[in-house]
Amino acid sequence: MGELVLDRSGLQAAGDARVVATAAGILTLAPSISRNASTALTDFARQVEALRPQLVRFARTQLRNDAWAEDAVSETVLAALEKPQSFAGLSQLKTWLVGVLKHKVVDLLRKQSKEATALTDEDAQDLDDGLFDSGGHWREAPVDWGDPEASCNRREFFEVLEACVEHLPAVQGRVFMMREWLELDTTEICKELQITTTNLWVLLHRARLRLRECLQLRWFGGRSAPT
Amino acid sequence: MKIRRSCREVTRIVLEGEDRRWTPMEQLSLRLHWLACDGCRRFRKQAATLHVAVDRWRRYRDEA
Repeated sequence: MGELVLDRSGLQAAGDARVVATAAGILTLAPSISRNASTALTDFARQVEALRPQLVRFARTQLRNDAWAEDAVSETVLAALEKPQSFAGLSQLKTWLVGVLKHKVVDLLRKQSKEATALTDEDAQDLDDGLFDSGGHWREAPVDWGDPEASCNRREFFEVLEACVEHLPAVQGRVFMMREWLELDTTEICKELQITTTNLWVLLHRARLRLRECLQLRWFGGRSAPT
Repeated sequence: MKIRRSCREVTRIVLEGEDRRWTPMEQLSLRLHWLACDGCRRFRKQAATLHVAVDRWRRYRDEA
């Protein structure tokens, strides 16, 4: 066994174990690694790297903190590179990475639970008083949104919905995403974030009302029916 | 046991339906309220649309 070409950046190494830093992270290469195996490894690293921006976006929507999001994604990418696997295509790789990311994100929320549940002024605001009069009747009755099949499949709709979720106050956004993206039940969310059930119900209620209002404005037309 | 509820209470219960099951008593009071209230019937439809939309959005972003 003579010299081995370890990757395409022109690094060369003799037969002993080497640590080669790639753009994707750090790969430990065994001495007996073959040219093919190392090429496969860097291909894998490249594919993982290609999905990173998407992972960062997901992590940000859930965590609402750029530094936490970077941490969660770095840990996900490192975990992937430690155990390179073969997937039938990028979309399978993505599904797997997103699964790993979801676990990392929950770990992070648990560790940062205090900061993650510190309410902003917007979080504390109740929409109910704007929607209902003192007798509990609608000030403006909700309008007909029409047939969901007609619009809810479109890419533009998902983009508006995502923007509306990103505009939720931070804590509302976190609990909403824990419920709807991480698909945790309310007991689990309370446990991870160390908040009371009452607080969680209030936050979810506010988040859903805000989301409805945002979609009303940005997708379903911004009109209200006369009461 | 409370049967008659305001639109504000009905709205809260409808949204909580995303995260828990309604009690039989709640179901009854919702039904009675919807019989008489157009606004809450439309809100219920909006909530159902939101539910479907969020479901599809989750699949769209995780898989697409």
